[in-house]
Amino acid sequence: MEYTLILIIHLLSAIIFIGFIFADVIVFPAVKNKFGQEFHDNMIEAIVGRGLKIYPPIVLLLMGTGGYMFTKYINSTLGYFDTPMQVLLWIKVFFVLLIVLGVIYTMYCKLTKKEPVAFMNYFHTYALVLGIAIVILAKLMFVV
Amino acid sequence: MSYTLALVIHLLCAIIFIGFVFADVVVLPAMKKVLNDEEHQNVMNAISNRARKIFPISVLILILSGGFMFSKYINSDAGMFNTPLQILLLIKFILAMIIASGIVYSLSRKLVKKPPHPIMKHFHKFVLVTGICIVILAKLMFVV
Repeated sequence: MEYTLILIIHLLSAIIFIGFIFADVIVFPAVKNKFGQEFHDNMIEAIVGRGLKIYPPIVLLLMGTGGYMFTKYINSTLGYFDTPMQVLLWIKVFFVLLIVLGVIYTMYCKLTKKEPVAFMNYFHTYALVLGIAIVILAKLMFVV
Repeated sequence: MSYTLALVIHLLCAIIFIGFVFADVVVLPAMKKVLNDEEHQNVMNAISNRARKIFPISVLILILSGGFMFSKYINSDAGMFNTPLQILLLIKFILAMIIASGIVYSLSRKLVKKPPHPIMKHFHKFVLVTGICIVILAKLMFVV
């Protein structure tokens, strides 16, 4: 039952995190098209202000609960790369780390008021693609 | 494998749908700090217009993929109310149908250009709470 509780928290956190990124990449640009870049930037600034309070704790929850479940499938008894499931789980972890590094870098730039590198302008798009890949891997690893 | 495919599609649609509703209920109200009432209304209209192109389709796919998986657990052979899993799945189904009915009602009022009932102002909050219950039921039903 403990595993199920952790799984539910993990799933709800993933829904909140990836769902927001989807909204940011696909839905919010509708505002930019209609009211222009400056208006859109003001709006995003306000959203990011609140987003910075909500999404980093959500990512921490995702990692904490994910780490707990990870140890059920990859540990010293079961081995590390012995089954296709473990290999897919490692790929999933790698994708997660890419997103987490991006989140940490973005927060660092925000806190130190530095301009992020141009590559990071599309970080939410990368995070969305990686997030979708992670969800697919999460289900696929149980049937390979 | 077709079940896994339906499950992945179902999960991705649930993520973008509930995730957007979460953003709409919890994050987007932050815009009110920087926008006046009229600007806020305009922004919400622009977001709603795009959302109306995406989310009814994602809900339709959710219902279709959910229906496909539903038939694995509830059918003429397995019965309807024989196991706790089936009872929780039926509760999940009823909750999903209440959300779907609300969406159909909202869209139909929009089509006939009439304002919806005032209670529908709180529809997104209701969908968020109901959506979270549905996610919990989706995991709980496999361990009862």
